Amino acid sequence: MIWLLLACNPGASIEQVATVEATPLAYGRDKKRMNIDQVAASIERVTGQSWQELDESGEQVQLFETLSGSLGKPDYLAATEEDLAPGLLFQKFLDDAARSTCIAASESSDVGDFLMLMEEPQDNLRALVLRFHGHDWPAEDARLDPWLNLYGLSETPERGWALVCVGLITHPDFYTY
Amino acid sequence: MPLLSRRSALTAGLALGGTAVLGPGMARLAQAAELEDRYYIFCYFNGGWDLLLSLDPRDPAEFRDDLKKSTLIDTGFSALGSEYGGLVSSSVPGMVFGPCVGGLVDHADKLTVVRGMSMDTLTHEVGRRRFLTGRPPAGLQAKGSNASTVLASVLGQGQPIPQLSIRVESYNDRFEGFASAIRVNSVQDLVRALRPSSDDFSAAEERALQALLDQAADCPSIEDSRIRDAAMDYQSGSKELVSLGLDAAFDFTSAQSAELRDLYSINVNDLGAAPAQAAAAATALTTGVARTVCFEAASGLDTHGPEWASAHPAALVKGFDVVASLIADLSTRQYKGTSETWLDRTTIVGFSEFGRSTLLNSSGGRDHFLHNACFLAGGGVKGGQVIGRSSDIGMAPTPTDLASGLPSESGEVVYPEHIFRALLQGAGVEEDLADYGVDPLMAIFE
Repeated sequence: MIWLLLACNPGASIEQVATVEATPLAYGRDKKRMNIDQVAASIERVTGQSWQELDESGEQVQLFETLSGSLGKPDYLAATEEDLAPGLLFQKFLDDAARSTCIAASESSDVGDFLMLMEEPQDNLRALVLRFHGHDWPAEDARLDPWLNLYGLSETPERGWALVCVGLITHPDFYTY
Repeated sequence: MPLLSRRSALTAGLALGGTAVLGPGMARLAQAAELEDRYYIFCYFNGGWDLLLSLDPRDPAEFRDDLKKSTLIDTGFSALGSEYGGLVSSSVPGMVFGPCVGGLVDHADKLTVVRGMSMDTLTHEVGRRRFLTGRPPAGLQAKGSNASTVLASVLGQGQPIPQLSIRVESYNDRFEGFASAIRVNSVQDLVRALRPSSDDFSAAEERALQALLDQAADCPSIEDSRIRDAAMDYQSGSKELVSLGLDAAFDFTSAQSAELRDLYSINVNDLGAAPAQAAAAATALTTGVARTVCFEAASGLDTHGPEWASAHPAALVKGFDVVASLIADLSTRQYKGTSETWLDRTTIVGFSEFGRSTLLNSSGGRDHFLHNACFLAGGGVKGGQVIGRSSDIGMAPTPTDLASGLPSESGEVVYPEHIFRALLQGAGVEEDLADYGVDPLMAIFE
């Protein structure tokens, strides 16, 4: 901009041009909610578990698929666009999915690969926050404290990390981008 | 008590990509006006229904095959299976239906049938959204709000789920977030949505988890984003909803629901089907859970080929039977300890996106058609009445006097918005809250 103005008015000094006030930057786009496929894949990625249960016939069913209609996923018959509102049903089913997968992860033999990555609780929490939310918070960051307190409430480390895992998945930083 | 209170205004239009105009003050209106304690059930017949077989028939003795070229009407009765007869007379003199009206005919004395309506479209999505919102869509994009949203915004503040929608689209362009539908695909999903979460954690752990999330809700990074802010509001609303323990009422597999299962012929292995949806609609209203409910009474009606002769009549009868069960159920449930029944307080609207062509096509099916009809029953609706008429040549929509309901050259062709405006007036709302821009079809009411 400065060079452009100078080009338009070659006699102007740098000082004169520099007094022009900068235009505030426009806001970027608002956050978006992940679609259901993204949420399901993300949960599986961070916990190593998918949200599933046995149906009446004893077959394993993937609940994000079973509930896809109620969760606003398009069927390409009546709807072609996914409803990405973070509505009541989305919140309820996300909470159910978080509890199911986090508990399963904490009881799994793979717990060390997903929920208990580091020995020190603070280091592990930082690793989980990075893994679930993409925030690389420094060790002294005060934002870690409530999560550490939450972890500390439980009787066993596995249970504590399962609780933190539920909190991290149901937090908007997990499913919005 | 509505579940969305903290930031409800923000959530109103999220489903429409955040293009909402914020609420016009329904709460103030509700407090100021003398409103009727009315409930609403919208029964959607998905696919475009055949009106000659149901709500707007013609006598095959008069509209004979050899006259088709001049009347442009083929009743099609002769192509149907032997289980379907001809015209079906009701207990109301002169109120005649087509052979596929099912059990609805038994409630003719409670029905207003509106004939000769126009939909101005042959496209499913456009017709459906026009009949849901009372506004012509922009392309395929719905404009406006469902009539059930408008009514829920005015009357639904006392219900935990002001608007419940089962397998039917819902829109909210300007009304408070609490009036937006909770939309599920089946009764099974509804039960799961209302069921408390697993109790894997202690009460202390749950409290701490909630406190942490509540604290997060006040974080500037959350408050700076519309969707994240709304998400936190919905999250607390969701927890409040499940804390009410409403799931048991909708568990139609339980022993307590045996009577309901019989009445509606519910198949416990198919809780997505219309009978379970209708039972859920009645339950939602009578247990105080919802103020308005939309459900899919019939599907599979879009029959362009030879399947029209078998699949369409069967789907129609099933749909009308479901609505008949609903009317029967509500008419026997006492309304809040008064001498009235729930049907006296509940207005039922049965609709489809449009009718089907009056002549069979070369495949032996019927295509989409511009005309339509609908029926209403219950809450204030005048029973045993037919409003308007379609023409005897090609069943074209014809003008109707909105006050008397009689065909009249000086009247107007009836669209869904005429009916919705009347529903609002019937509830005690004079203002045209949804900008329908038409006069109400007041002939609907007694």
